[in-house]
Amino acid sequence: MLTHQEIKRYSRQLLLDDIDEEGQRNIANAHVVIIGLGGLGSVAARYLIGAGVAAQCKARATAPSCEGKLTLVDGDTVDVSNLQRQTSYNEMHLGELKTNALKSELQKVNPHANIELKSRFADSKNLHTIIQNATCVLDCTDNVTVRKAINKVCVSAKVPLFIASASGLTWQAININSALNESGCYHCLVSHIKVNENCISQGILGPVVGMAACHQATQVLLYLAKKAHANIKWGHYIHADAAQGKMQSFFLPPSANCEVCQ
Amino acid sequence: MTQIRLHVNNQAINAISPISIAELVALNQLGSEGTAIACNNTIISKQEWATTYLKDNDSLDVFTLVAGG
Repeated sequence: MLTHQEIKRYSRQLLLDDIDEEGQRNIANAHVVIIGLGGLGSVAARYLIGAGVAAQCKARATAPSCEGKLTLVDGDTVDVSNLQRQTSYNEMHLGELKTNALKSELQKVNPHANIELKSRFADSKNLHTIIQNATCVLDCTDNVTVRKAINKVCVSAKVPLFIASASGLTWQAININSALNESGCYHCLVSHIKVNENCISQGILGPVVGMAACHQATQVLLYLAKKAHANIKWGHYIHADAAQGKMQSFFLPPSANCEVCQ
Repeated sequence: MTQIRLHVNNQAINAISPISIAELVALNQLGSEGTAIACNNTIISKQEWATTYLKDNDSLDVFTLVAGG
């Protein structure tokens, strides 16, 4: 049973069949890991905390034990060039670790949220520990090497992975669930392709990466609420052109020779 | 040899069959850094471009993968 306060706080989303009360409890009890706290991660985190991820642990001493947690992973600090698109940060945060800055902003939304910080860059050596016991992972990083490492560890551990990316006026996303064994993984997608690494050389418009983050947060919330029954698509690569308002979805089959998922 | 019609990013082009995705990319200079291709809404791994042959009325979407965040 949700408390009166919780029903009031989450009333707008509780009206959705895709969430409802059971889903709201699932959202609160999930362990969500966000890797990368830039234009994707900082925005997605705000929506997840707002929607009740990791919300009730410290608020209800009498409630059944709650394992909900939001883990924020990044070793970077806030730079003035981030403020154009990373909307959770402001001038007061310049030079501060993004983990600390974001946690302080998220706690203004929900002071009782259980937020864990890992103030280091994710790599193939620490990822196994980082994603341990995760309900799902959001890949919000900005380079292919780390994205491949995150994909590999999530596929191996069968942890659902929500990937998004953006550059220029384009954003892209895919949900990968290796437990279902129905579609390909990130390695199947980028194998033998040299992908442009980051948004610095190509430029990025703030709201475009925001759209990707909103899509990612939407998919994660729907998954957390209903898990296997969630009305979301796995293994479909979304390619969106923000200038033309055009969005396409392509199925990503498993690559027969994929060294990660096959 | 048969002439077939293909749709590349919603533009119709003619090609001579048999033709693979790799040959089409080379002939029409479609490939660049980060290029991915979907044929009839299914992504074709780059490894399979050379062995995937196109049929009349196939629809291809050529786009660039991005990794920024």
